[in-house]
Formats: sequence, structure tokens, C-alpha cells
Amino acid sequence: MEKRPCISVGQMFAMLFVSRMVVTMTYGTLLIGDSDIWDHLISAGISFILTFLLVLPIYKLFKMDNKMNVFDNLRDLMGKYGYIFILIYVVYYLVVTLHTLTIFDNFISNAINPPISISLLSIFLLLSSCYGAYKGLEALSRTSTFIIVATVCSLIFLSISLFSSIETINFKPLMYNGYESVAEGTLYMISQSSCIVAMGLLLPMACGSKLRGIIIWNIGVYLSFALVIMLVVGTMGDFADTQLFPVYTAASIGKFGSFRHLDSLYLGIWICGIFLKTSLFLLLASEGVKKIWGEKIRRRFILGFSVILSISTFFIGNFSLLRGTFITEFLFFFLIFNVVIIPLVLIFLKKRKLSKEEKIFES
Amino acid sequence: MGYIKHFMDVYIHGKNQKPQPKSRGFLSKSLSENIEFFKREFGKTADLSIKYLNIQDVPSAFITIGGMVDKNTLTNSVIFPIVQAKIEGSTNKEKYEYIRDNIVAACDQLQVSNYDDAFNMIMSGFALFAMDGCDCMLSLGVQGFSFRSISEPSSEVMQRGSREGFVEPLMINMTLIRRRLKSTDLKFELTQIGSVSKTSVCLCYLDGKVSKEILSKVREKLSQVNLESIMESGYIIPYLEDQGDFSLFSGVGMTERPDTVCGKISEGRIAVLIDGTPNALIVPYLFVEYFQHLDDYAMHPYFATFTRWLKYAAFLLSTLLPGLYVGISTFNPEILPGPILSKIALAVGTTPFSLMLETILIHLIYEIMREAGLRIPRPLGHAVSIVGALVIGETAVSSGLIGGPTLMVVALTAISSYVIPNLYEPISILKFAFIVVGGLLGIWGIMILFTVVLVNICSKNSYGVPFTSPLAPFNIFAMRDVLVRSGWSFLAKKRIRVQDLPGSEVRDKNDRR
Repeated sequence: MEKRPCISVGQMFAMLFVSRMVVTMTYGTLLIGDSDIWDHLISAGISFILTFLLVLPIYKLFKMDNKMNVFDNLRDLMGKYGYIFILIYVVYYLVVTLHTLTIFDNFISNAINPPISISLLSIFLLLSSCYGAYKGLEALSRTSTFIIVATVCSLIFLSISLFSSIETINFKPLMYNGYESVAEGTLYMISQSSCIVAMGLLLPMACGSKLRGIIIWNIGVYLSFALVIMLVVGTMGDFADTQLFPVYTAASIGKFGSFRHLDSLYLGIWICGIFLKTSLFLLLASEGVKKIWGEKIRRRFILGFSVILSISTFFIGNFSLLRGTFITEFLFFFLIFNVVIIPLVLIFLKKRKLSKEEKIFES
Repeated sequence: MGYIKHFMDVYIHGKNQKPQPKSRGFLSKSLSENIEFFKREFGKTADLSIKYLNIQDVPSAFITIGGMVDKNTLTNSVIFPIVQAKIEGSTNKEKYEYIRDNIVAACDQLQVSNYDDAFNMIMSGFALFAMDGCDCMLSLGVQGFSFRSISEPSSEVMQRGSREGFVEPLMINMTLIRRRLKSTDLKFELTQIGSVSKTSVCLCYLDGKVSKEILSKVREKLSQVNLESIMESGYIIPYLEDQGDFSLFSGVGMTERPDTVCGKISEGRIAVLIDGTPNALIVPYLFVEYFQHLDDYAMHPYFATFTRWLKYAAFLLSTLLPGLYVGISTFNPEILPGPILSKIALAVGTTPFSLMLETILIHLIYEIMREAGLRIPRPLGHAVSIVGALVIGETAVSSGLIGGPTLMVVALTAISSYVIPNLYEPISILKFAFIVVGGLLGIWGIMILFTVVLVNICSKNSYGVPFTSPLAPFNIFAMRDVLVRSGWSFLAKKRIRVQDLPGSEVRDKNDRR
């Protein structure tokens, strides 16, 4: 039997938390449209509960056999047809990687517009992510230990720096303009919960109490989301709704003692998070490729995919399909398919298989 | 007798040793035949010395290598007693045995019966006593070659503690360790590598602390060394590293201090001593150990903690500062405070090169000067310093070729890199990489490259132990000697062996005595 990397639950959820923080920090009108940010506080609460519900099928499947991940189950229970579903997962991971790169591209070109070649920067990020994916899960999980410390410290620092600028008048009544914003916010937050799909592969590789990890991770993710919303709205009010990346804008106006321009701090954490997320999802996609075609192809896949994406980075910023509300809805349905429908089918097949085996054993 | 027996086990009986490719055969009963063979094998070498004697009418000889034996000891303790003695025995063989058992006063003596063993012994500084009619020779430990005396290692100076450092002869280094660890658990395991140099290599560890799995891995890796000669410990470092694991950082430590070796092997590590070099290699070696120094344990814990954090800061400063300086000044000047920004802008405006090129140039000049300072004879060192200080420090700035702030950054980087001398090699390469990336892609590129370096460090294992342990995977108890240096009362509570660290893949973790 092949040797599987073993990481701790803490490392696994550190990785997933950092990946999720990328979403929190790039949250803005580019992806949520004209939605009211303040109403997303309720969306965060709803998403918190929904995330627990969405994790259940994956968790249940894992509990039925804690040594098998989703790919193993697909191959074991569906035979050759399982490969088709593995391929669907691979496509999902690649779409998430591409989507993350698009956000990166858009953020750099729209929010910062630096005097450097954005395509060159994207290629550099992509090649670095490929290196991360090539180095494997253990390397990424250990790296996330360092990044999460920096992320949490920076988040605390940013919160302190913005706390003095909060104006209570900016907190208007919730759902003042109806419930559409709440629905849009919830859809956005759930659609960005790609970490749940990642759990399907990662849970069997982690050692420790997974349930406790899931609970702490979920609380951490939505608590930080709620905190960010409160800080952004509290400091900028309605102005936040007009910003492409309101968290970045808030960071750039924050000051703490003699510290100014905290947007650079924001950029630092965000880039580390982007790197980790793209590396992780590329690695997960390559795991699927390995399952179907073997280890040799997996390495070629990482290399080949990096080359293809490097070329596509010249056009990636213009891919309207990868940004806006369309991708939110697309990712939402894709996610539901991967974390609810497939795992439920697998649970059903597994139970049937087990009952058959029991009958054989009894007879 | 212990050393020589061990020596013989390894060299003569071939324990822990790869099979010899070709045997030269057994010694002859005829002295003249044996001497002829020696002469033929050694050819026209000038240092082979053969002293013929007639001991009670029996042709005999002492065979030595000039300069490797102590002539006084050989004359007074060996030759004179043999010549003066009344030797009993009727046959030549009996006379030889009488000399061996009753006359020779050298404490290290062993009998050899084939040419390979005989050659190994004389080339290790032993004297060979041969008698006609005997198919064996007596090797006598009368080594007397000169070597550097024990002194403080220049590369690892300590404020407090011992002033003793390793020297070149292996046996002396072994005694330096034995004197500090008077335990029967302390083991020295000799082996020989290098098909031509036949360099003695000694594995040093504490039985009961060391992991058997790691020990066998080290033995295996050493047996795979296929070099002809080993002139320096650095030759075998690549063989001790994990294969196919490219990293600028090494998982093999190096020290010149016996006390450091003792501290390391007490934590389950293995020291590799190489004859002819004053450095001991230590495996497994983790990233945090680059920042630990023996002085830390001699100082007050609060100050040791402070200096440790200084080292962490110095590492980050020496690696990232030039890149950040170039990246921020070129693409994100708004981050800098106004007065600093205006100074940099003024300097950039009056110098002919771009900031990236200017920083690379000064760093290159600095590296050239450093290399020159290391290689040139000491009396000329002052001249290099003067040229460096005047030409680069004064003239280049005043003539407007180089900006003052850039020079300041380079100086700060250079000084910071001296805080952790063991990391100088990766730092010097990484800082150039960060300058180039900072100059092309700004702080975004620097952050990505920094994460890549982090992944590279995190992916590395040293003999199954994660290189970044106990930081990642994290262990709060081990932090007592990583982020802080706790007091001895707390450190002594439980000694963590290297194989017990979190994430370790070593299987025989709990193999305690």
C-alpha cells in the first residue's frame, strides 16, 4: 500500500483557514455585485450553520471508513465509472485555482495597478504554486503553520488599527433594503467554501480529532468574516459598498501609532494565502490525476498545467466567466454537487455494499 | 589497547568496512622477500625507512614511514631493549615470540600476518618489527607525527566555557569528547572511506539515546561514499543529506567544538568525526539549531532569549532587507516615511544605475572583498580593508556612483549575516534572488519568493525528522529552547531526543534503555 502523508488536524485546518481568509480579504463588489455589505453579517451567521450541514455528508462518509478519501470511495464503490466523478473533482479543483488566480489578477490590476508586468507576476505566482504542489501536502501543511501565525497576528493588528476609526453611525439597521443582500451574501459565502470539498481528500490524512477541528475552523472562519464586515462598515459606512475590494481600502486607511499604510501588511498575508490556496488545490487536482493515471502523469500534470496556465495568464484577467455573479452561482452548484450529491450517493452505495457483505457473512 | 583493537577490527578484520578489491597476500617467512615486496610496492618513495638489525644473529628489520613515528620512543622503548635483552628460544619464531611477549614496552602492539594489514599499519604511523623466519610482523604504536595543538576554534568563539576545539588527528578529537562524557554509553564506531585516501571516519553517539534506525541510515549513507579521497568534512556532507531533496539549507550540522558535540549527542544525534579535519558533522540537524549557540546556555535565560530573537531578526534582515529596499523604493515608495523617501529619491536621482543594479553591484563588490579577505595573506588584510572602506565607502558615494542609503543597506545586511555564520551560504544566495525579484516584481514578488523558500525549508526532512520541527509540526514543550531559552531547572525536566520531536518518522522512538 502506498505511503500516505500524515499531517495533524491543526495543520490541516490551518491550511484551510488560510485558504478561506483569501476569500474574506478579497470580498467585494467584484464578486457580490451591488449587495449591501452590512447585511452580510446575517449571511455570515446563516453560512456558519449551512457550512456545518454541508460538511455532514463528507464527514459521515469519512466516518464509515476513516482510511478512505472520496477518490478511494469512488473507485471502490463505482469501479470504472468512479473515474468520471474523480475527473469532475479534478475539474472543480482546477476551476477554484483558476478563479483564485483571476481574483489575484483583478485585484492587482484594479486595486493596486502597479508599474510591473501583471502577467509576469501571475506566471511567477503560478510557477511558485506548482512548486508548492510538487513539494506535497506535508510541506504545505508545515508552511501553513507559519502563515497562519502571521495571518492571525496581522488580523489582530489591522483590527486594532481600525478600531479607533469606527463610527457607530455607520451601523444602520440590518436588512434595511430587504433580504436580497442577505441571500446574495449567503450564496457568495457558501460558493466560496471550496475547503469543504478539499476536506473530502484531506480528512483521512489528518491525525487528531477532526470534529473538533471542523467546529473550531468554522467558528474561526465566520467570526473573522463577521469581524471584517464590522470593521469595514464601521470605518467606511456606505462608501464600502462602492469599493471593489473594501477590506483593502480599509487596511490602507488604518493607522496604529506611527504605523501607516497597513495595506502592505494586508498584501503580505493575502499573497501568502493566495499561494497556499492555489498550491493546495493544484495538489488536490493532481491527486485525482494520480488516482486515474498514476504517479508519473501526476508530475507531468503539475508541470503541464503550470505551462498552460502560464500562457493563459496573459488573458486570464479578461475572463468574465471567472468573475462576477455568474461564477458565484456556478461555484455554488458545483460545490453542492461535490459535497452533497456525490457523498450521499457514496454513502448509499457503501451501506448497500456493507449490508450485502453482512448477508454473505451470515449465510 | 581499546583504540588499537577497535582500529584493528576495522582495518584488519574488515568490520564496518566494504570488502577490499584486491588482497596482496600473506607475509613470507623470508625477511628479504618481505622487504623486497615492501620496496616494490612503495617504489621510489623517499619516506619509507627500513632499519636492519642483527638480533642474536637473526636478520631483523624495523619498517617505518619517516616523520610518522616518534624516533625517541622507538629507540628507547623498542630497539634498545631488544638489542640489550638476552633473548630466549631456539628457533627464530620462538625468539620473535619472546620479544613480543617479554621485551617490547610499547602498549599498542598487534601482530599482522598479511601485506594489506602491514601497509595499513605503517601508513597509520605504526612501526613494523620483522624477523627472518617468521611469517608475521609486530606492529608497534609509536606514532609521533606533529599536529596543531588544541586551541580555541576561530569560527565558534564563546564568551564563556571551554576554549578547546577539535584538531586534525581523529584520536585526539575522540579523547576530547570522552573527557566530557564519562559514560560507558558513549560509543565510537570507526570506519574507513575513500578508496585512495582511506580516511578514518568515526561515528560518535550515546547508546540508549540514539535511534537505531537513524544510526543504520548514517552507516548506510557512509558506505555509499564513492570518493577516492576525503580531504575535508564537506566532501561527505552531500552523501549524508537526503537524496533528491534540493535545498539551500543543509540538514547536516558542523561544529569545531567538542562541548557542542557532547550536547548534540546527548539529544540522540550522531556526530561524524573525520580524520584530518577539525570539524565534526552532526546529524540529524534541524533549522532551529542554526540559531542555537552554546553561549546561550551559559548566559542568563532572559538574555539568551533576547540574543536568540536577535538572531532570528538578523536572519530575516540579512535575507530580505536588500530585496525589500529595492522593491519598496521602486514600486511602493508610499510605504516609506517622507524623510527616508526623499533621501532615497535624491540618491537614486544622482546615481547612474537603477536601484536594483546598484544594490547588486555593491553586494557583488562586497562579496569579492570578503572572498579576497579570506584568501590573501593576513598582513595584506589591512590593505583590503582600507581599499574597501576608502574606495567603496567614501569615493563611490562622493563621486555619485553609488547612493548612500544603498551602501547603508548593504552594510546592515553584511553585519546581520555575520550573526549566524553557519547560514552565510544560503543567505548570500537568497539575498541576490530577493533583490532581483524585488526589482522586477516588487513586494508582491518578494512575498511569493519568501513563501517558496518557506515551502522549501518545510519540505525538508533530516533523517525522518522534519527540518522545521518543533515549529512545524508544532510542539509547545519544545518551545522552551526555541522561541525562548528557559532556565536550566525547566530544561532539565525532560530531555527531548531528536527522534521524539513531532512529525518524526523514526520508528524506534521509544527505544530507551
